[in-house]
Amino acid sequence: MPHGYYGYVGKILRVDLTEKTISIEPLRRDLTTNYIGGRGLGTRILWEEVEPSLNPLSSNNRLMFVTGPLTGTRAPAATKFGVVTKSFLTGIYAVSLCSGDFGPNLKFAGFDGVTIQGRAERPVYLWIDDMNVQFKDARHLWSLSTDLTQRYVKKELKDETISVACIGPAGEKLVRFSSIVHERRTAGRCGTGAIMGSKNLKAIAVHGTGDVKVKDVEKLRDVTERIYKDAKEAMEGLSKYGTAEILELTNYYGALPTRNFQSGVFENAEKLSGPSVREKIVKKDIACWSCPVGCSKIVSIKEGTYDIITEGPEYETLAMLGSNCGVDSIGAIALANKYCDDLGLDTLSTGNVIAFAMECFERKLITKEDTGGLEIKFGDHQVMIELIKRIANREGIGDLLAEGVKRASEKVGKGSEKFAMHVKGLEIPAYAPGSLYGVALNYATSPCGAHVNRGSTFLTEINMPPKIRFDPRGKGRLVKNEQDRRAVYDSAILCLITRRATHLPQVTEMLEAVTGMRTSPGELMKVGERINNLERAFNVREGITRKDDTLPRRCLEEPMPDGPAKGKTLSETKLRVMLDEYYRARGWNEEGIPRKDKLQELGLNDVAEQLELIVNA
Amino acid sequence: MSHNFEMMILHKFITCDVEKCTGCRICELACSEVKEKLYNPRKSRIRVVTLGLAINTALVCRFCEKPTCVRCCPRDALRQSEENGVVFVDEMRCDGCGWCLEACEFGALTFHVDKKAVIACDLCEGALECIKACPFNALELVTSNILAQRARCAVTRSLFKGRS
Repeated sequence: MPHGYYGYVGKILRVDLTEKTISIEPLRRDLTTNYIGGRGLGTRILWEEVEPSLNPLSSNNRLMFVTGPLTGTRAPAATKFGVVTKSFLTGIYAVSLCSGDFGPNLKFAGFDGVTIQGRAERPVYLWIDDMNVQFKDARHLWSLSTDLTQRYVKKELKDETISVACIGPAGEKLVRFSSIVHERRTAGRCGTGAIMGSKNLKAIAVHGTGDVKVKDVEKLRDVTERIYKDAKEAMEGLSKYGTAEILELTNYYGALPTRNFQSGVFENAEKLSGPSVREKIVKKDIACWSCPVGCSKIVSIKEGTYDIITEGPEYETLAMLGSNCGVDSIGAIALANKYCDDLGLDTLSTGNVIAFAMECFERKLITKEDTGGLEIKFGDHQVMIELIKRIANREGIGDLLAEGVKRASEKVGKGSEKFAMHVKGLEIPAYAPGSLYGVALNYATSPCGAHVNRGSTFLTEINMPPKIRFDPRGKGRLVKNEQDRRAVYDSAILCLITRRATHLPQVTEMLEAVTGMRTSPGELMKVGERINNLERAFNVREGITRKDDTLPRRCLEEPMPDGPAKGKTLSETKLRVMLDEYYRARGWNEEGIPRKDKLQELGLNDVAEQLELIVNA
Repeated sequence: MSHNFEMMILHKFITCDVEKCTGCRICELACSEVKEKLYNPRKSRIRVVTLGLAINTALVCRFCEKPTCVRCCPRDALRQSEENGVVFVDEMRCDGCGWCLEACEFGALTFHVDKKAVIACDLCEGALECIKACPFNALELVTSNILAQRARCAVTRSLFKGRS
């Protein structure tokens, strides 16, 4: 146990693609006590190593693959690895998590994380075979789909059981919202794929045979079994139908993005995820590493011209490539999902940007001349699938859309910014903000831009009586707490799928059992707060202030046409009330910059000093 | 004394329902947890294999009635219990040559890297930790007779499809 705590392996692998060197660094003790691991660990390294205003595509940008202390153990759904970098889509801090067995395998190989810097001269992939790390030529893999890349790498390394994370053509072509794909799961958000592509790194393959040792096996087993028991009931729907279960709920509460967020209610929602549909198409359950839920579904769909067997589509994909594009064909969505995965595109941003193009076309802001002859209309799923291919290849109109909705709307102009649905450049995902003020506030303030999993209060809010739900007051503290809590899960790392049975006290117990450190829910919340503040400091260093903590004008000016918030508008005034309260709860000043005393309270003295220099400059 | 007559004549072993198995690998983690007090699938007596999109199963020693692994061991390091068919490994004798690993058609034996010896399922002396741990109820204790009878029922049902 070189690190001093159990659970960790105690090593970080550093890879320099320019120099073609690898080195192994000890995992610093202050990183684990102050940041747990995972997202927190990545955030701190990014803060220390990425200089302000660095071009995200610069070879000096870092791309980190991180695991947490729980990764590889039997803790329920401790399956994820995180990707932390400076985003090419938003130009600010980015973290994206991905399930599967890549994270556990990385840890069994003997690393808590991998930091990648530099740029390879020619396409390469990295082969981590326990402590034996090699650069491999990837020229023959370039331009291949993520599916084929994984297959070829496994074949080449003569082992079907190794884990491969890779990019597809979209990442190679620097599509701003391209993803990193492992199995059929993705670190989808914030355009992590483009960073990997800019480094000429096609894939990372991992095979690990080592141990993950924990302090108290019996205690971990005890907590785990309690969570399994609670999980059985709390997560029955998720086990049965997958994340698509929630679609009926979001539709009911007016939060299902429909036709580029013009509404939160989709008239054909039933066709996307009704129990009868799921009953018919779901053929088999698949679970990620150590997960007792198994939300992933193998589906077989025969519908019209679509005949497809695949994994998914998940809720957010159903919403963004479905209702948000006005599409009600489950077959089309499944196929679009498969194309996105194969090409290495984030399904959420893709659905968002295509819906934007559809609205632009219907409002005649773009014409057939701009689209290369395509009639891009809501509900036309064939056009949607065609656009996905063009985006990934940056072909014609696809080249414009590949820039993300923010830049696309700037180019289209003509008032289209009003319905370019993004925050800080990150496309708004599948919980429409108009009917849920906490969700909206989280989008406005989350460190990555509009990212639901950095602090979604959806489940809390729908349980509120409407009077409280539609009151901007009280949302600031609610969102702050949820964001801090999520940072703990993302650092441990635990998948959010079990969160209905895994609350902070259980996370505390598991962390204690695994690492041997003494902690408490309160202390963990402090860690979460520290991580969020450090991420904010990173963004402030990049020029982010209050002016950026906002929402698209559609959210602030247009009343909701349907659903429980019908006729209500989340106005500029309401957002101001929420932001003020949020900043106060966070200990940030009115401009949204963390105060010196707050940072010092969190032990971030060096960060406070740096920020002071910037703010005073 | 066992009251189970069948147990006297046929070995019970753990089998995995491929339809129910999700590939979550909790059985591997539970096994290494109980046996090794750590987490490492490569030190588990039960091993999960995932291929492609939807192929998942767990493989473990089936306590063959005439075990090839025992017969082929050049150092007589493997011995089968007459009572329940469990294959014991004499760690002093086993030199890790791996012949038994190759001989077993199920890949049910695993080479333990620290012990430098082979490990195999011993049914946890009846505790059956992997079966208890499986959240999807994919694992169960059976005999080859039980499996054969199920296969007979299944084939008969398909022959008389449509009739109740």
